[in-house]
Amino acid sequence: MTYLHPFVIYASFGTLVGTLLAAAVVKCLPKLPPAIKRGIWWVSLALPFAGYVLSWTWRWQTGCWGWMLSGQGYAGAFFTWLCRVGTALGYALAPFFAVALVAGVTKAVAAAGLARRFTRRFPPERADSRVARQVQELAPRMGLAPPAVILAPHPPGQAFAIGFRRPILVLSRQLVRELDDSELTAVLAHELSHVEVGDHWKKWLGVMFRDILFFTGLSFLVFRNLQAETEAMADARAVQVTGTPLALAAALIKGWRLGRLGTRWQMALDNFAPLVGLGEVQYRVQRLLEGVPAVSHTGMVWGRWLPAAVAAVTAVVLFLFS
Amino acid sequence: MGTEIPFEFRPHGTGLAKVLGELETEVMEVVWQLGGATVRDVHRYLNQKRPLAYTTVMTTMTRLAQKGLLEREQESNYYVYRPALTREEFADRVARTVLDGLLDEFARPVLSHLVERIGAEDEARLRELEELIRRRRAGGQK
Repeated sequence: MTYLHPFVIYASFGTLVGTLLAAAVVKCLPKLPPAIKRGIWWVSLALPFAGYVLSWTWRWQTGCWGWMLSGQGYAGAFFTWLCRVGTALGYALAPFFAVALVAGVTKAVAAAGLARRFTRRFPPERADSRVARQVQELAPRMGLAPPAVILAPHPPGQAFAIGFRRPILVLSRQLVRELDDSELTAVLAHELSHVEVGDHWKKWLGVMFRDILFFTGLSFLVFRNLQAETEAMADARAVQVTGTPLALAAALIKGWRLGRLGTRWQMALDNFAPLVGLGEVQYRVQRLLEGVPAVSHTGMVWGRWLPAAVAAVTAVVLFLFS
Repeated sequence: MGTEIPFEFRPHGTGLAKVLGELETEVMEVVWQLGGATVRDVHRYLNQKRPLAYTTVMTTMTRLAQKGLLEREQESNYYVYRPALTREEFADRVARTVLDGLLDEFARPVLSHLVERIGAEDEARLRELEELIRRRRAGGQK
């Protein structure tokens, strides 16, 4: 527990500061490209972990500011009190955090194992099938080697990339049956654009961070924003490649309707294909109808520094106060 | 929360007529539009649509002031009436009062119906979007 209690403080305090900063930046600069917004949300999700690792690596003197001020008037008394409350809270929450840590990591590892079983259970699509042909045509246009594709009965209505080094595209059989050719192309371009930027493993990692940090109460909100920006990026890229926003919008609605039919596999594969709410689907469809802005993986030059700036400010606050 | 406004809820009425009388609704709409008005102003405004006695308008406005929906202030020898609440604040107050009253007595069915209703609203919105996509695609857009 000695090793865990500083992390509880890092996680609680770091997530709070990171989330507030991220929310303020996104609110003040609503026109930032999704790639930058995504970077900012990643910071608030990952920084508590990074800060904790760095603190043990560099042996930061925690609470140095409070330490310097301790015994110096009201400010010193306040920091001493803050330090005691933080330490007590850290020790009190450490057992719960230990459970959350074990559960989060176990769930992620189990999802990876299930993904492996899942991909072995259903054979890859033959090269001459409707789906495989479209993947072979699209992937080179996006600078990718065509990944294998499997059609599975579960989870219904879903399409996602699974695996780590060699991602495999998984599409629900019902969804493929429901989609016309242009809709299927749009869905495949969307999934390939996730593969293009490594979202298949980033999503797995993000869900694990979200689950471990669930006790902070903010991680689900941060993850939802992160996912929204990730999907916005993939939608924009798919539209850039196919030029068919309406086909993608129609496919999203069909997928959501089918997705309501069952959730058992959805839960098991949550780390690769997190559940999407109706609100998110509506938001994405509306964006597609209004005209998706041109895709940008980098965005404005100065904007690229924003995630780093949020990370730096959060790190400094953590360094001074934790 | 603010002071409670006495009203009778008529579920089958439309708009403000769910909680106010027909003339009360018309008067409130005029006062909200003008921001502040005398009885003469409101009478002149409503009289353009249909003939109304000055005293009828005056009685209605006095009743609305007693209910707390209008505030009146004497300026020389006439009263100027102003809305005590904006339209949105009034709608919010009505919704709170009606829902609180229902939840006190029928919490479970009311909540379950609200969840159903929200689901149905979302579903309806999704159908609208679907229809819009279908029409645009039929028009040749991709």
